[in-house]
Amino acid sequence: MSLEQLIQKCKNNDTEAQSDLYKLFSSKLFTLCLKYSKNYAEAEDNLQDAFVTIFKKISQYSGKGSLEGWLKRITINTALQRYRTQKVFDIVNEDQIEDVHIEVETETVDLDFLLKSIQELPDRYRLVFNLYVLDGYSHKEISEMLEITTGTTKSNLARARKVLKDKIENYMANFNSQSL
Amino acid sequence: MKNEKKHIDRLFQEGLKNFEAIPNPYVWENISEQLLTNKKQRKVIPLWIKLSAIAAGLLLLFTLGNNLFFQDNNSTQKVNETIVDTEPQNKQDANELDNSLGSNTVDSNNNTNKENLANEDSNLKEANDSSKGVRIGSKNTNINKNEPIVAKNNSKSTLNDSKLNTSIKKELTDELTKQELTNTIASNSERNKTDESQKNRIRGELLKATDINTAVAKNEVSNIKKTSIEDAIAKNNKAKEAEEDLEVGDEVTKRWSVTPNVAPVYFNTLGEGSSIHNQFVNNTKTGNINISYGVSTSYAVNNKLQVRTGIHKVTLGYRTNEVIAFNNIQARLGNNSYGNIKFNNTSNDVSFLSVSQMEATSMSRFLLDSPTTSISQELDLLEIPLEIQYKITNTKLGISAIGGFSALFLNSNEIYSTLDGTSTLIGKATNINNLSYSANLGFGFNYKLSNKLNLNLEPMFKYQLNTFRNTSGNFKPYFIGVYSGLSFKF
Repeated sequence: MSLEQLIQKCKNNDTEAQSDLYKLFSSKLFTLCLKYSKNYAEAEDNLQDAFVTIFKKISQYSGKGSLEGWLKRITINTALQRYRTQKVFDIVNEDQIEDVHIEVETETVDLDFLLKSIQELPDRYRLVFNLYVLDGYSHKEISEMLEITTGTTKSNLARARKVLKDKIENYMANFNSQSL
Repeated sequence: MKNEKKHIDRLFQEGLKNFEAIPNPYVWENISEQLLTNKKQRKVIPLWIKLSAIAAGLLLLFTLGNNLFFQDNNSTQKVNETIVDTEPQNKQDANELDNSLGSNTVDSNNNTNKENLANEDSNLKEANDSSKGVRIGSKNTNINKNEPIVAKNNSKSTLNDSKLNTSIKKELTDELTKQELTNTIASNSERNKTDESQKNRIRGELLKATDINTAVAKNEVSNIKKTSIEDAIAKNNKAKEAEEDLEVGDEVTKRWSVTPNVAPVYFNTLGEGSSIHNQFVNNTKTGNINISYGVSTSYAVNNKLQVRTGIHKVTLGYRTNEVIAFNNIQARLGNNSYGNIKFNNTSNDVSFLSVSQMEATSMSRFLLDSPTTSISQELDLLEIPLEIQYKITNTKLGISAIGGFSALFLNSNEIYSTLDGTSTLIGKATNINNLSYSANLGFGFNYKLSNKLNLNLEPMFKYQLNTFRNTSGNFKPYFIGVYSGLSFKF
């Protein structure tokens, strides 16, 4: 069955097709959810909400642009929505800091650690870092999505990088001391 | 050890590039469960049923209002009298009827009749609806075969539709076949029993569910990943919230909105004419600007179309200029009305004359000295609109076309004479229908303040269809209102 046929069946609320679509994309979208959420449980919630929305709105998918892109957008939106309705982000210092060029000395860092570092970021930092660095949105787009200024998104990004750098350095120090 | 300098972004990009995680199977179970309940919910109430329910409700309201207001007081009194008259006869005749059926059923039938009468009576009091009175009357006559009253009532029951007759027949058969009645009661009580057992079962299940909830709550601390009923509920709610504000594609998720609004309304007539007297047909008329206020609620059928209704209090008024008021005791003797005006007791010696009639009338000096005044007519109405709003543009500043009709219930009507800015209440108009309709047409402008809040401005033209009876000339009343308000979506 082609992807078009699958989409068509999903539009007709075909349960089997919905299950197939889920099987096709759930792991990709779950990864996305993990990065945008602060923990595993929240990521599961987001994935569930995203798929419910996807099946509700699939009739609006026109076929322009890739299905995966469309699915990812809904998933990211669902993740952002949690914080948009919540309105109160963790209190973060909004002062603009200069984006110093941050480099870390590293060998390959454990994947779980990378994910955990992202999840542990304050909500806004995490969202901005994900959107900008991992999903390629521009500051302008992010500022519209989060209803904040581009100055703030830039500042958030710089702070996120700084926090991540410290974490990686700590991790490396621990790693080195353990291996010694 | 391999030491490599990397930009932090690249570290994460590369590190997470090939990362894929498989979600727990219960996530899909939750999703499919939710999809199933969504499907069921959709199947339960299709849109057309909702819409027809609204339409039926409004129709019922208007018909009720129609019966309530159009029957004048005299006929209501007559009907009441009939009820009183037939009650004793009814008992008597019912007895006769029952005797022929068998003495055992006498009492019960009698009781049923009484009960029915009592029920109907209380209904009558509640609704103050004369049509029900008619129903009692005709029902009794059918039982009694009391011919004079049949004739009397038949003429009235023509007012009622055939539905009413069938319901009467049904009631009659119910009364005459007591056996059936007891059967029904028996089956009813049986049904009650089953209802009770069902309730118990549900209660049991609920108890179980709460038990599960508390158990899960305990478990949650130790094992967050485990799903729970509470989670499912919370997820449901979140999904709804997420859906509401999600900006992917266009959608109508907040379907309902409530709008308190207020409007200046301007009332006037399209053609030359008068609602008061034929001699004022050619007089100039000045429309008054009054206030209408109320609340309306709308339901978005889709992105473009909204159905809305509401309730508004609206005051309408206009002035007939160039009128001479004079005391005319002779003309008023034994007659306290003039044109379509019914005078107050205090002012029934006033008469009016249009200035334009002066030339044709032989004037006395007394009349020429009379000051020129104007007659103001004021109506206080309760408006219930049913309108369709079609969005032409759907941007931050939306433009829409609005069409529909309103039912107008008369609240009060007054006629004043105005002299040098001083108004004196002189009476009320006799030719205004208690229920009338208007055809509505207009534009809506709405400015989206937020997802939940809209600022509205709606210039509306409302053409009144049958507000006045016995008008003179070409009296075509209308009113224009510019409705502004804030609408809250939910």
